[in-house]
Amino acid sequence: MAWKYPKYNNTDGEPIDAEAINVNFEAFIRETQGNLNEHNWASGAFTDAEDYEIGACLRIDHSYDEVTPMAAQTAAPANIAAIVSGTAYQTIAVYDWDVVDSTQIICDTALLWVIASFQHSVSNDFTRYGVQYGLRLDGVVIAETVTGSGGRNTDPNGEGLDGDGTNMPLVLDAILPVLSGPHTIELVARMCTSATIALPPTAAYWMVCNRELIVVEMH
Amino acid sequence: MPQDWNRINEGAALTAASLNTRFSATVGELNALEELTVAPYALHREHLPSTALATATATIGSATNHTYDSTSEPYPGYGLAASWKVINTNGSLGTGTALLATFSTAVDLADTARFGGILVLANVHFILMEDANAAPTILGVYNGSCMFALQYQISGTWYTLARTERYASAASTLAGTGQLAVFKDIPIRTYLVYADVQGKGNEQVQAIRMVVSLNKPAALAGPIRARLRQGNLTAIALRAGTL
Repeated sequence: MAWKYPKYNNTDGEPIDAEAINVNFEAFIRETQGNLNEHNWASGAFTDAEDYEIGACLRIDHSYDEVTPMAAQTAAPANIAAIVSGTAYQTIAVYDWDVVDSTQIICDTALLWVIASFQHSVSNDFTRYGVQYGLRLDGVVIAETVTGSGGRNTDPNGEGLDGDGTNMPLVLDAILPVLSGPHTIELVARMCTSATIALPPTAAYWMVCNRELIVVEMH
Repeated sequence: MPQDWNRINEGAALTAASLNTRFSATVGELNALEELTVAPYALHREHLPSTALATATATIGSATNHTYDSTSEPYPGYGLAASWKVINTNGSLGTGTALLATFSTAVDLADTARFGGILVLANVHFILMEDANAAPTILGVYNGSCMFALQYQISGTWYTLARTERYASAASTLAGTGQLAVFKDIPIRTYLVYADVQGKGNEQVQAIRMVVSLNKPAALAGPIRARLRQGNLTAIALRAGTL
């Protein structure tokens, strides 16, 4: 609570009483024993952001990969991987989730705002197989972030993004509560079936080009 | 840790030294207050400064499409700044309300003790791709791409942030339907930091904007056009450390 006026005043011409000094100081000391609160600071005492260490409230991890886009095509490229430069990611030709990008962090107990911003690019046979993207935290895919329906009974185009063959940018994000310690955050992708082809894919068909993974630790 | 008062006992000598010792302990406590000295839930929102040191926003609520074409806005090449057009309600004319957010005071990213970086969130609605005929035909896939990117401004000059370059193509034809419009949201997110803006004379970011260009296949005869619609852009200069 706010500081109180000292109980005893020493008066000129009178002997100083040790007990009066004790009482006056003990009141003050009690304030600093866990009783300081909002009344003890001046209004606006901490309104300057520089009163706080720069990472006191927010800490951010961000990483990115750059891929020069392919020249505009007039037909399906036979091998997309051959016509882009940089660290383009290509999906694997199985149904398993595969890592597009990942980051490892060590944080406090906090909320993490995970943002993945990336370029989804067309493959050499866009009419057959779909693709899904999602965010994964410590090995668990966050279902709410997965693109597409995930079920052929609810989507005539099959699971995930597929068949209209368009290039397009995507953003996935989620706010995730975590406990203190190390965590692995990943953008993952997987091939999936379409309405017309149910067989396992025989080649990788989708690319992820420019991409950025941002993790905001929020206190 | 919180201090205990060492009491002056009755009959004890009250000397300058005994008082000074106690005053010094008290001063030491005041100069090093710890977490335990503050009552639980004592500090409120009013005691915390905002971690958003500066914000800038822009919105295009256009009720009509704005168009851009490969003649006036050709894709200049990866990471280059020329010939991009800021997305605006008058399209290629460039005279409309722009998807351009200006900070009231430039954000000095070189002041790394104050700014962690600028978080940028941008979206625009991509309607369709078409040819440039008087009665345009909606284009299908493999007729070029509409390119998007974020640019930042320092000392009046715009620079393209290469890693934010994105592209979208027209949709493929669905059997029996004819060519369809695209109607896709184009989202871009990035975190602009000091390392991104070095070498420009200074590092004071004045504004952020979203730009567009058209990447036409060389083998395609006529120009191509893209139609866009609503968009929004938010830039937040954050006081944030490195995780």
